[in-house]
Amino acid sequence: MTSINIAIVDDHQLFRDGIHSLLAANDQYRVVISASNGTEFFESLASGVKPDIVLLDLTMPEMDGFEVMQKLKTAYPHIKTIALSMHDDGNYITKSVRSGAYGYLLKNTDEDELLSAIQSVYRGRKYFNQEITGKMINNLSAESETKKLSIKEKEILKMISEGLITKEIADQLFISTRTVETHRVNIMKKLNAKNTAEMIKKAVLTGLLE
Amino acid sequence: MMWLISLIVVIVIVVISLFFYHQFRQALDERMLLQLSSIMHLKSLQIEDYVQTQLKQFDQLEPPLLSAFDDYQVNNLDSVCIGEIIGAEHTPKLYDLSWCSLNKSVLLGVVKHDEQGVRLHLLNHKTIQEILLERTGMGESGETYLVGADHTMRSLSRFFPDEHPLNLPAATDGVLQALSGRQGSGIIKDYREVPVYSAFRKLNIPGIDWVILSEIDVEEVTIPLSRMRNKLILISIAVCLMAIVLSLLVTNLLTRPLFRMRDLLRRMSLGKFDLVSTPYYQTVEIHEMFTALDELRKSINQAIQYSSEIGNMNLSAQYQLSGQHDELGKSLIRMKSQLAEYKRHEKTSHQVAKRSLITGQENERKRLAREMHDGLGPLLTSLKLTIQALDLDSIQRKKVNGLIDHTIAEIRRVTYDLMPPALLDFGVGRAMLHFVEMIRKSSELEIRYDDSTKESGSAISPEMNICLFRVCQELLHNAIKHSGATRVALSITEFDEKVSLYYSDNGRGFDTDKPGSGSGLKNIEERIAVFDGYMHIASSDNGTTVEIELPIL
Repeated sequence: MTSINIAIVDDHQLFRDGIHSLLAANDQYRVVISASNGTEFFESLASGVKPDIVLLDLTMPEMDGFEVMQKLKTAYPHIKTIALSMHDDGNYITKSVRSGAYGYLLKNTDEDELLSAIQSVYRGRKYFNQEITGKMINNLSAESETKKLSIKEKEILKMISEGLITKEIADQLFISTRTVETHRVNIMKKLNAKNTAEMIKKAVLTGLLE
Repeated sequence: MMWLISLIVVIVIVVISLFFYHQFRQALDERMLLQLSSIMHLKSLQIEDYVQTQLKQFDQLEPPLLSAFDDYQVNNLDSVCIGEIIGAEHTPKLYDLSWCSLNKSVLLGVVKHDEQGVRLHLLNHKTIQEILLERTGMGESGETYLVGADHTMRSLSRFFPDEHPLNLPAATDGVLQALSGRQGSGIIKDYREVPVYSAFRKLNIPGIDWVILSEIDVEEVTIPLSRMRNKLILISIAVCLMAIVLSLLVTNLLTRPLFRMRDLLRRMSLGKFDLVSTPYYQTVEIHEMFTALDELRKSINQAIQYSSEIGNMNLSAQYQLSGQHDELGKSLIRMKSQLAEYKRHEKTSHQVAKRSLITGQENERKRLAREMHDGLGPLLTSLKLTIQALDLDSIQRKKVNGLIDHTIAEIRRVTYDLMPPALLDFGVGRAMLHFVEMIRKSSELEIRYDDSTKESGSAISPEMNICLFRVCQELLHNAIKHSGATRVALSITEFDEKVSLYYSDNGRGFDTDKPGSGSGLKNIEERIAVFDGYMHIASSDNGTTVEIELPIL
């Protein structure tokens, strides 16, 4: 059985050593690169070392995790990345996934989870535990909504289409007319409409009012 | 002043009156004397002619011999007296025989010695008297009379017709001058001691030293003159009265407004500009003067008002320049702009100070957060890894791992409170997603959050991100701790020129005017002020809404 070649990129020596010793206890894993930042990592790669999986910290000096992933995508597409971060913020998870990470683990993850993540990813599957998935979905859902209209903007758009005047909308939403106007301008910008009539027309055509 | 003018007017009138009076009088005198002289000349020529004629016709008249002139009594003549007077000439000669008249009549006699004796012819004095009494052009008091060398009259006096001429002495100036051979005229006193115009000369009759005088009373002649004088006096009085009235009028029209003007100016110099509005004056110039004063007052009042506005730091006050030379106004406007500049400068430096204070604080937090996150975090994870490598039974391992995980979670929480790493890496809009998620987990609060910041190319600066995050943090903290709200709505919207933050809850609300209604609110206000932002809080029993706008520079 061939062992899985692993690279560890983290700016903390102690942490690298910890992971190293953890993996060294198992014959299946071979740590081929231990780099303290992206630059060092790519130097090793350039020297011919070929890891299967890289355990990548996100926050590092010199070259951070996101940059490393971007570069890997084009230069070494076969190397799969598992982000190993202290951040439990959904934004980091989403960005990592967008950057091409196969997995996302918190640094205080258990040994078992780390190993099963490595195994999954090595077999070409993505690995995100339930908590991470939840955070990611939450983050992505918010993101997809903001790309078009926000909840409030949709609400306001609907009210405008129902013939409510600015004052009525403001009263219903407990916001000032000033804010309603700002939102209306915002909606028109997003829908690329020049006036209210065009805004309603476009909203109907794109099914925003359904 | 006005009285002086009146006085001058009166003096001029008096002087002119006197001058004209004098001129008129002089002209009158000359004219009168000229007239009298011609009358006197005419009469003396008539008398002389008559006497000469009598003298020439002496022989033809065949006068009787003096000796045959027996009847002296008939003629009331004193023969002795005549004998003493007459000489022995053989040619006819004239004699004044008045003193030889027994009844004191004026007598002129022509005497001639011839071979038969002395012949005497008495001239008819009535003829002479008639000539003298012819009074054409002599007025009421005029008369022409004769005076002998003895200074007694030789003709009847008009004024004393019953008095014998010889009994009337007439040694007047005129008589004396004429007797001494001078002919002339002048104003003198006549035999009655009355001032008269008089023309006089000696009659040109050989042997007779008589003078002829034509006179008229000054009083009669000067009646029109005195009438004129009275008129002049009346006119003078009228003019004086007019002058007084005029000066009163002028006082009313000119002096009173001027005094009023003086009082107003005096008040103004004392700093009182609350003047009553100008009454209307008839005189155009004075009215214009008061209008100008009113304009001055308005202009000064405006300056005062403007100064007081500036004094109260109301820098939005406007000032209308009175003209391009309104230096006071210009200075005030300069003062205002200087003050505005200072104020702005003060505000800016205050903002800079505040901002640097906040920035310093945030930097310190950032540093602490990073040290904990990047320093403690890896140490703990490393510790966990090390423990895993140790030969421990599973219960112990689980316990220790649990402790370490808890510690790491705690560090994450504290780190997040200090400075969420995502805030700097992803901006406030994205960072709030996680923050809201954390609150959802830890509380019952229903939060609706909407992130409308720009996903790429956001123009929100790191400082502004921190500011907005702290505001959200504070608002949500308040919502949980104090408001009793169950629902919260929060949105952050980024526009090209501003970021707006909207927050609303259904909590109890609070008194926005009450000071110390949460140092959190004050904290928010200060942070917003640093970015020159707009903030509006509306709070009632039904909930609170907060609107914030920060301009993107």
